[in-house]
Amino acid sequence: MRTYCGLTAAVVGGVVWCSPGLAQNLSTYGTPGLIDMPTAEVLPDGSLAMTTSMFKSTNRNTLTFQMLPWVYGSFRYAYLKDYLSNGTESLYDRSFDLHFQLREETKNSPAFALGLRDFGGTGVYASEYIVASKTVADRFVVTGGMGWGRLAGRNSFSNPLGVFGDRFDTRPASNTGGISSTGQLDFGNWFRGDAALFGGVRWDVNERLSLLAEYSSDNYEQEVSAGIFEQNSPFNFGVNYRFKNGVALSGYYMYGSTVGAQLSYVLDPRKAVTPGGVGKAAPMLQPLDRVALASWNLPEEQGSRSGPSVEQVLQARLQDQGLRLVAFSASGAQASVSIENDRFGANAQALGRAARVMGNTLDPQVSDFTVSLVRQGVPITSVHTSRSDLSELETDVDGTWKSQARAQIIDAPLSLQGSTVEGAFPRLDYRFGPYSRLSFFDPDQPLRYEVGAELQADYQVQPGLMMSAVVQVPIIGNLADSSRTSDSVLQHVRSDWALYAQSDIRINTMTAEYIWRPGSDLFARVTGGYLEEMFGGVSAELLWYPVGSRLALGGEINYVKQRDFDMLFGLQDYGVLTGHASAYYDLRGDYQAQVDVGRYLAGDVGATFAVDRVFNNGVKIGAFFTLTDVSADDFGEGSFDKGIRMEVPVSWLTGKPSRGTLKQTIRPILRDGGARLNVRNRLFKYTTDERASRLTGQWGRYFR
Amino acid sequence: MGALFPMKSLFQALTAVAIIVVTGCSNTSDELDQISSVLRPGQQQPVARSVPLLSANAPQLLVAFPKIESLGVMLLEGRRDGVETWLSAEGATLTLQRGMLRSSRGLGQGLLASEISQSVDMVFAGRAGTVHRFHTYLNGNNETETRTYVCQIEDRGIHTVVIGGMSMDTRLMAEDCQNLDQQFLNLYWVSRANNQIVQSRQWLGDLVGVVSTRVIPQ
Repeated sequence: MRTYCGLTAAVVGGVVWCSPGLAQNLSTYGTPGLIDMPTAEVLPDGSLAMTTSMFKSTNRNTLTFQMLPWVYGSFRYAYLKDYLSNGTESLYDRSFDLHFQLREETKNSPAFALGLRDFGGTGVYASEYIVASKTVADRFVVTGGMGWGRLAGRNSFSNPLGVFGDRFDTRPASNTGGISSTGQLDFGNWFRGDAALFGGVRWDVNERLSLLAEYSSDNYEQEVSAGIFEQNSPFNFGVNYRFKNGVALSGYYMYGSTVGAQLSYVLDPRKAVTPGGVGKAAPMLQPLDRVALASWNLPEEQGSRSGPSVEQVLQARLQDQGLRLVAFSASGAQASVSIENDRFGANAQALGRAARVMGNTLDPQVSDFTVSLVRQGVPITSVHTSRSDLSELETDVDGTWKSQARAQIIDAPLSLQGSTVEGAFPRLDYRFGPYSRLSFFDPDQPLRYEVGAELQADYQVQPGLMMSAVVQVPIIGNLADSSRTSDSVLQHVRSDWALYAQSDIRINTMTAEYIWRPGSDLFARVTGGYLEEMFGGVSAELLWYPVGSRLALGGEINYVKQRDFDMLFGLQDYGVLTGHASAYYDLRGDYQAQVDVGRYLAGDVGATFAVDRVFNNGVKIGAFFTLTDVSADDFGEGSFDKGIRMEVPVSWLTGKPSRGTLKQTIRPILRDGGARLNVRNRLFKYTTDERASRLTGQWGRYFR
Repeated sequence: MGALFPMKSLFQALTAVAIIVVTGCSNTSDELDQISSVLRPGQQQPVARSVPLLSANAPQLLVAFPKIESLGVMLLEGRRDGVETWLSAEGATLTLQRGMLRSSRGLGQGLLASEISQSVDMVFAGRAGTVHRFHTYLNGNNETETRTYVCQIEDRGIHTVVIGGMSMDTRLMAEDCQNLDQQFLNLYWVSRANNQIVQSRQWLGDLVGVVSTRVIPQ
């Protein structure tokens, strides 16, 4: 707590109200807690915590995300050596936790929380708890709670919730038995069966060091009976040391029989490595009289002008800023440029750069600038700025919000305005370089990878029309070594991925794509060809997305056939009509919700629900799940499709401007139910960074 | 795997990957440049618009960042409305109003803008007193944060400084600023001959710390 307050004070400045109940210690489960026991604490809002802990025959790796100030969620991948079959077979276990802080700590009363451990996994850690924590004498945090399930292993008593009905008295066997049904929400079991008490105390010796002691209600029954764990005492003791950079180390003496060690790292996605970044400064706005004297702005003499034209100068100067001029028009006091932003993660920064280049280049009689953000020749959003505002606000202490308030953000015209710049179309973009891919959680090999060479080519024939191909040659890895064959009873739309991974040279995609604006606030796309690695066919999409709207609605329809395993040109017999109606909504704060309803690749019908927390700097952390008419039994292990996804802008890591992002989706398991086509350039994702909410959110970079 | 190029060893495979990384090329993304700049640091080209400034003998300013142990020369990119923009070879800038820091770019912490008119008035009048100044920073989440500082300005007397082999008399003005969690001291050596700052030590922000400037006589 003290650390957090110190940090907040440094960041926010001014008077900071330090709210109690903010944890600085992570348990072996990677969540705010003591050693094995949870506390009622939470992490600072938005924090991402990574923990690995090891003791005896257990290794837990946990990712915890504080998604709301009072809710965190965790994903855990545990390795339990020799856990199964009487100590002969090891278990890799995936589990999800949720923790709700119901009441913050106040001066006189403790924080209260309710939590679910392993609510959707195989049930090894399945348990629920209510817990209270209170800071005493500034340096001690005392915790007491009651647990069910695994947390009711020791000195348990009959469930006090039994007063609400007999059903609480017994806990049905969890799903550990049948692997086919794992992954179902065990909500029928929650808070049922016997309960037990646990508790403990943390002593913050100073800002960096804490000592821990707890009484654990978990008796490791399974582990003990498998002969891989010994329990001589219910008491655990630990020491935790936190470094300034967010890394923490812990050591434990547990259950009177073993020692444990733990490494954790907590990061705040809002803090980039270098705030503002180390990218080059924009050219300063030159005084108007200097701009007037530039050769291209001088009156023509005798119809012959040497030197470059305004358009050429503009193009070269924009190019220097990583902005590609596609179209330009100027008449009287108005001038407009259409640009493709190849450099800046935040389009607001591209807008500011383009406006300053215009200010340094165009004749002083031009007073109104329009910058249109364009992708593949398709105009998305236009921003009007007055030249005088630009020069007035460039050095103004409130320049950011004043310039945002005075700028007009509108839907772009439906086609490029003015004359298209020479050489803009057709145009070939290419990339040759390395690629890598990862696969997680295969019980034979929990981390699989592949590295190879990749050639990408995009040929822009005319605005909106693009021919593209991606070819990969794998060089090294163990992705294709998987010997597991799919046991899916559904059409193998995804579960044959190991067969696809065998191919030595592959055409990942080869498509013709046309994107256009059928009307204001509307975007449309048709794509044909080898749409993704496992399917080829045709895809059509329409999106309604007003420039300043929180809501966008879209529809997509595809007919696709499954591709041959060699990922070349052949197709298999299986074909399917698939498509979705989608709604996208920008919630208050950093949250974005998406619902897709429709038919999936295996012909199953259902819906996907996703929520992402999108930080203003582009870091994105989200979760999704899909429920379809495929029964849990037919789906197989995992019961339904679900996962978490993360996106980190390259510039967040390097401080240098870049549009690149690192993305990773983590699914506990990839099966055939609820599988969606992966067509490129889905329109919402394609347009959202250029729409108003993103532009205004990142306007801080306008004058960067 | 990898039947196209049968790999005899891990070493060959790694060599092949290394070759792809090195020979990688693209006309659209700077991702490969970013990789190579990590592999071969310090090989950056000077920013294009500094070249004509150099050849036109643009005025120069000596700057030092003690915290990152960096020292160099910046070129005057231009002047507008009383604000000068100075450009480094890497493309970072400082903007100064009569030698007093207004903003910075590309130094790893963006002082987007500031309002220092009270300080400017006092320093050049050679007067002591209390002023306010306002700094707007760009934070790691692309948001701006404006902070207010209360500053005591005092005259620390006449000091002789030697610049370009010439000694000159200056009045040392000190500006001691603080808010609830930050504190810094700016020093300005103001020439008695022409009432211009010839040397200074000014605070940019927590991350970058202090920048020292010294005029280079033309």
